This record gives sequence, structure tokens and C-alpha cells, in this order.
Amino acid sequence: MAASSLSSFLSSLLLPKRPSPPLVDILCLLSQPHLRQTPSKRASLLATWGPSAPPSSFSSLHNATDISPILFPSLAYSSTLFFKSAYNVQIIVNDNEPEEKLLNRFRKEVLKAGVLLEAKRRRFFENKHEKKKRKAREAARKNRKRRPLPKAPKDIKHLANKERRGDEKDDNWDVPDVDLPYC
Amino acid sequence: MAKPIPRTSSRRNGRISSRKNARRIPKGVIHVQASFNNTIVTVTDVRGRVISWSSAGTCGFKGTRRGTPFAAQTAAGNAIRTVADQGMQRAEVMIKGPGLGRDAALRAIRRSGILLSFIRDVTPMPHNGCRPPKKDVCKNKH
Repeated sequence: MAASSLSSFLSSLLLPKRPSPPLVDILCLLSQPHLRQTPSKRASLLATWGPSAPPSSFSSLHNATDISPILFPSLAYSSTLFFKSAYNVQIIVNDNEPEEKLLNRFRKEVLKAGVLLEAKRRRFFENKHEKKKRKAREAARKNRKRRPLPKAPKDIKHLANKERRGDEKDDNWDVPDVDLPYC
Repeated sequence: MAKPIPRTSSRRNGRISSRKNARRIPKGVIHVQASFNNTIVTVTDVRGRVISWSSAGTCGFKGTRRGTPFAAQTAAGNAIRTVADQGMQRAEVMIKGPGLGRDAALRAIRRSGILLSFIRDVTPMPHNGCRPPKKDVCKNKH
């Protein structure tokens, strides 16, 4: 019965266009030991929804999103499906945010999502050969970032220096003191 | 012949409400489609019905200049000017497509004084759908 009430509550939540309240409210519901209070809670929670809800609840949503994928695996991508249009990147604008900071935040999110790279790649058709080359390039870039300097070459350099010095000693660079006929 | 009974048709009501002067929309959505050659800025209401639009081409730019960020800036400014008179305060921004106009249009929207609630990127991503055209070999020949 509790499960059915929870599911009906979820379905009622998913209808309107607000991302932040559902996850927060579900978590505070779960923290409540008595699920009998759900009808009254539902009413009070619905009452708190207003057009100005998102900015205040965004900070609390930040904590909620950290554990929500574990609690509700099926809701992990709910934000993309929540709105009518599925989006790649979303940024919620805070008040009085400087222009450059907002732009940088947007650009960073887009870069992380890889939107521009993907669009460039899909602009023209790439055959198997091109695809292989691209994948090799991307793998090389990833490996370069992950492993900048392996430790092995340092020892080799040490040995190389010693060998070089030894060679120089052995080598005979001096001209022999002999009377040469033509000099 | 009996006189026809005058009926207030629903169609007439629909036409009256679509007059621009009557609509005051406090909240809307600004769609920016930034392709490589052009930038189109469309202002709609929350449901998606278009209020006004503007593009780099309609702002007087022609050819390759339409794809520049400055053109995107003027297009965005133009679109918002017509809408600011209608009293729009809050807006969401939906950006679509790669192109140089993305940042420039966003900057112009920010500067115009409209409050932004969300900025979303809605570039369409196929899950390996239609085959894109072949690589542009013809361009190099010119």
C-alpha cells in the first residue's frame, strides 16, 4: 500500500515541469518513518510548489543528486526525460551572475558533454578507415592525459651518461705526435 | 426561407486572440539555432508558439558574413527588442547546433536585460540514424 501510494505520488510529481522538487521530496519522504502521513505531506509539498521554487531548492538538490542514482536507478536520467525536449546540457542561471562567468560555465559543460565534437563528427560521413583513425587519435589523447611521464626513462638516462663518459675516455681524440710528411 | 441563426463561431474567437497587441507574455523561450552558415533566433512562449523571429540574413548580412558571431549578436538583439516591448521578463534559452553564433547570441541575450532561468543545449543527436552526406570533396576543387 505504501509502495502504491509512493508510485502514485511519483506519477503526480512527474507531470508538471519542475525538476528539483521530486527528488528532494522523495528523499525527505523516505526519511520519514511513518508513511501514513503521505496524504497530508503530499498536500503540503504540492502547496510549496510555485513558479519561484527552483532557485531556493537548487542547493538542496545538489546533495540529493549525489545519492539519488543509487536509491532510484530508474530515475537517474529523469532530468533529461522530465522536460518535453531532451537536452544535452542544462545550466540553471543564478541571479546576478557575471556574464563571463556564465558563459564559461556553459562552455565548460558543453565541452564536458562533448556536444561540439559529436556534431563535427556527424557532419560528414566517415568510412571505416576514418573511424579507425579518429578512434586511435582519441585513445592517444586520453592516454597522454592519464599517463604524462612514465618512471622508466630516468634510469636509462643515468646509464647512458655513464656509458658516454666511459666512451669519451677510451676514445683517442689527440692527434699523435708524429712528423707528418705533408703538414 | 428562415433567417439563419447567428452563431458565434469558435474560429472567430481564435482569430481575435491571436492579435499581437493583446498578448502580454511575462515568460518565454528563446531558441537559437546556430549553424555554420547562419544563426536564427526565434522567440516563443512556453508552449512553443512563435512570437517573433530574426536571423542574421534578415539583419542585412549576406553570404559568409551571416555565420559570424557579430551577425548572431545583431540577430539576437533584434529579436529581443521586438519582444521586450511585450513585457517579457524571464526567458529560457535553448541553443541548437554547432556554430560561432552560440556564444555571441547568448552574450547578447544576457546583455539585453532579460532574466534567464535556464540555458539548455538541445543539439539533436542521432543514435546512429540517417547517413550524413559524403565528405566535401567538391569544395576544395573551386
